Amino acid sequence: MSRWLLATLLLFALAPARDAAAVCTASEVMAGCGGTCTASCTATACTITRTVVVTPPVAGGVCTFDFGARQVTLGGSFGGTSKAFEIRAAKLTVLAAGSLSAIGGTGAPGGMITLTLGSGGLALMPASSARANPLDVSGAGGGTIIVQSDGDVSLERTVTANARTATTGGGNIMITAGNRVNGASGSITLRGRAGEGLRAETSSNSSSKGGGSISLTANGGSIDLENSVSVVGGTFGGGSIDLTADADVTLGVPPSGVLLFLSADGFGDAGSGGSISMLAGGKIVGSAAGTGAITAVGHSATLAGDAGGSGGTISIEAQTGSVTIGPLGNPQLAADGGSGGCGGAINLSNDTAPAAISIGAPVTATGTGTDGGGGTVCLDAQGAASFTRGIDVSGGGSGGGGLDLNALGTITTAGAVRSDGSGDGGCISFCAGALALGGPVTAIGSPDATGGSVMAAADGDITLSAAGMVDASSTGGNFGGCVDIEGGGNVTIASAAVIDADGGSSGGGGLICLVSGTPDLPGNLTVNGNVHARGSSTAASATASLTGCTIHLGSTAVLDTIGDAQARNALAARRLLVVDAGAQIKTTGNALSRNVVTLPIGAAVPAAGFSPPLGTGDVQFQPFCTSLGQLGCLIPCPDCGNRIVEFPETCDTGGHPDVCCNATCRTAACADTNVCTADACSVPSQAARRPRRRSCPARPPPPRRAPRPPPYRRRPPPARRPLRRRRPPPLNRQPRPRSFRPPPPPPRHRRPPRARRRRRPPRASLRLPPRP
Amino acid sequence: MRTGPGTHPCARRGLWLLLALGLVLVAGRAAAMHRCGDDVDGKSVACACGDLLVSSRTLGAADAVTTSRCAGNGLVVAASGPITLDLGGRTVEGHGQGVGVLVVRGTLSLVGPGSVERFETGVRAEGEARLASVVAVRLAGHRLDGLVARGDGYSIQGSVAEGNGRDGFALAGSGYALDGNRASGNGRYGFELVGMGAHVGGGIGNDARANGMDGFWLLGGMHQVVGATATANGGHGVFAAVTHTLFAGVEADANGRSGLVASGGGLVVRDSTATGNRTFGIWVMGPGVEDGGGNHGVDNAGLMGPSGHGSEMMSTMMAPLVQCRIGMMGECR
Repeated sequence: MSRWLLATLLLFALAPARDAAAVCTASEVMAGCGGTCTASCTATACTITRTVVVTPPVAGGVCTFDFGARQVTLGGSFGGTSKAFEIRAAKLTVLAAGSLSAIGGTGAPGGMITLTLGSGGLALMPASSARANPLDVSGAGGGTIIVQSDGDVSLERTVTANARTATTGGGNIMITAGNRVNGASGSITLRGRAGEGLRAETSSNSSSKGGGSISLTANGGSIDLENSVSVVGGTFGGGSIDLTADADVTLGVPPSGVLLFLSADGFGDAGSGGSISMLAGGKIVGSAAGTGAITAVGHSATLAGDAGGSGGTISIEAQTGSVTIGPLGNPQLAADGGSGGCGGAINLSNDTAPAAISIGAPVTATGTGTDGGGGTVCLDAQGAASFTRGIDVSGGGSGGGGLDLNALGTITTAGAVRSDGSGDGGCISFCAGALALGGPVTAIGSPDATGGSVMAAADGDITLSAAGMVDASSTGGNFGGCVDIEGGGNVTIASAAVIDADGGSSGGGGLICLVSGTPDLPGNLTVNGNVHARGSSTAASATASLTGCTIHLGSTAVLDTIGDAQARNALAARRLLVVDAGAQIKTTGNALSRNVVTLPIGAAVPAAGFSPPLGTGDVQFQPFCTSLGQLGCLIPCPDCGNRIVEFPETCDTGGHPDVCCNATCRTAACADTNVCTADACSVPSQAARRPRRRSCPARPPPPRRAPRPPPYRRRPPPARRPLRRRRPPPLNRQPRPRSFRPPPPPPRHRRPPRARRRRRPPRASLRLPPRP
Repeated sequence: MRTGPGTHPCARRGLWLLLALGLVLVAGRAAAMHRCGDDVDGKSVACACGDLLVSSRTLGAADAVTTSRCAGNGLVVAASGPITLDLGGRTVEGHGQGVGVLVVRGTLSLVGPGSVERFETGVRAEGEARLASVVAVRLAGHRLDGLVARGDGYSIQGSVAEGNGRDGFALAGSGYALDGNRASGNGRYGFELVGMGAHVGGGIGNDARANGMDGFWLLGGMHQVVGATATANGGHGVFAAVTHTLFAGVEADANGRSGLVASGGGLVVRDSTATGNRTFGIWVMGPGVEDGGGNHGVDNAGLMGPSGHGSEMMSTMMAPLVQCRIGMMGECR
């Protein structure tokens, strides 16, 4: 008896108060919709096979169809023109013949459909034919679809919030699977036929309005996209796509014949690209190594000569896993501007070492035309990173864009990396554990512009392969740009490789700096290729500066700064200078233009290869330094591994690096300012090794980024150093403030402490706890 | 076979578990959606979580959306025209999912003082005229962004975005303005500003501090950045890939990378300072860049690379440019 009473109470608890109005409540549907529909319902399930016309009792009203704990199967059509309604159920399955819609047509805006579902989730089964029976709120102004499902969401047909007139914009689609409140996990899967997918677009490419927004969130689960998602817009620009998953995000390939995969392009009259953002707690990966095109591209202006639309933004971040885009399918990352517009921005990052970032797609954020400037591409990788099909941020009159590529591991490039500009060349910066350039890297100013700058800094080796080229040359009357390649290990320029910082036809040459073993490490510089910074200026001075332990110019090497009246080549070998027969080291040659060599006392001076030949004043011998900070001396390059600690070594374990003495015979930086770890380095033993792994890294972790509050954390990471930083409160923990305090005005003219080297904090747990 | 509840302890325990499960399910689900506002078919209707705000409203104690934490969205603005949501000094709070205030139709003016906290996104208003203004609102503790807006001509004033997992303010569009705002302790950017013709500051300026990456991140063109303070951010103080933009009165100190980095054509920089940044101070490149004077860089370390050593080229051939560089080889005036 009591059990039935409790069960009845439970049913009442699950079922909300019902609206008395007809055709606006679940009870009406279950009662047969006044004869217009057929619903077969039990206490746990409800199957609707005919038409349900949503009719709120008052115009503009909202209907809530609460089926309680029932699993609802929809085989008929359910909806009403421009209506706003909500379906609440344990599960909703829409069969092939079923449909949900709140279409507004061309005369009214789309309505609003809200689906609040339990752990059974949402399943939109494939329609009987392509594009049939969409989940549809399109209208004169796209409507809104909100799905909050505790369980998985499977979409196998069109879901659309498109605009249907040229003067209205796309609507909103917001789908959440999983529930942080009760701890339910959910994943989102998008499949379907060609032409289907998720859409919040404008009516046509000539529309004056913008695309809508699509947001997919998988709490505790993953997102798998195997069909297109589009927020293409008109003159107002593309819309926004947001993908957030606690687990992985899979970026697949849309059905055959579909070019666009994730698209936030702008069209119309100079529409700008929108934004595409994805954040995965796990990894971001293609489906079977294939990925479709991801684009947020701007459009050209209708009136010739006007500036086109700018490129949009694409942000891809994996918190604990790798990022893999391509190489199969139709992979593309594009945030190009329209003709005359500027390029957009593409950011690629992951947060946990040693996960890699592998981009097998062309990456472009170009700008063109008189005003167009290149965009920006930023990489922030905690492991290795590779780009096999190039990066292009070239620009027009506003110059090349910016490339800021950072990785703790090795950055490998195969295709062309370009930041050229018909204004000035742009800026390219690599900072990595090591660097392997297998294709051209160019920041050329053309046709009458200054070359840009290429800076490459690595803790380890840098290799410019035979297919490699670094070009920051200029044209016209402009000075050459800058090429700065500095590695802590060996730096190697292959025989067919070229480094070019030439000035224009009447300009001075630029600057070239090649350094190995920087700042005091063992590292040799080998040049077999053609390195030149030629100019024709009487005032400017092209300079090529080479520094390393052993500098070796092979038989095919050319070092050329001929032209400028004050040009010079400066070579500083900390151990040895080797110039093979056939190598050429040449500069203009006069009293102010010389080849200058600095060597350790007693080192041999190469006899040939210099033009003009080395004079007595061109060679300088210096003693070895005995401590850091000394002037007028060379830092020695002792043999690491001979078990003798020689300056600047701080340890030597005989070629067996360990946790406290690395492969370059340097004691690890143990004072990590982390209050949670011991700072003393000891002789590694089994007992000490395990806890020391983290507290005494062979090389300090990246100092680039400050501790950052991860979106999915259980609690803030422990402070690794006494940074005066405000951290966000842990979700669900902090008592809410009772009253609002208006923000204080921004402080001005405060003199802060000097920046210190920053360390990345340990990752916190990714998921929020269930509600206590 | 009929069994009474008192006959078998396991059956009784199962029923209690079923009841508890049911209550959990009910608790985890958002409340049914209703319309709310000061004028809903001529009546004033209080707002609860997930409701559609169809007319202006000043939130008060009667509004359940301010007294209970929302399982999904806070309020969904679906109005036929401009409306004002006055938070009335109260807080709308979520559970780390959904949007605190989601604007899908109409044009919202969001008025503080008041707070929107702990949703996935605090306020989201995307569309040509979805947002008119946000004044004196605190957006805190959201899993992703504090405020996401895309549109024309809106303004953000006197507001705070702090402790959000991604961006504090993620703004896009054209001709929008922001002044007197602060973004602190956000996971990525304090201010992400995209589009054309943004008026950033001009009055008391905006402040970005202790954000995980850049304090201000700008893209597009024709912006005016006047009076921006960026302190102790993990990335650059100010990063901009923009054209035809003015930077004036920027103060970028103690940031994990450079103070002010900007590239593009037609940039003007004046009266700006960069102190104690880890990499460079002021670094502005591109065709036609102009030094308006009054720019200074002090004590910037010039460190690069994962291990943070300095560039020999920068420290020898171009040493002064570590502190302040405007144009390819231009020291600051």
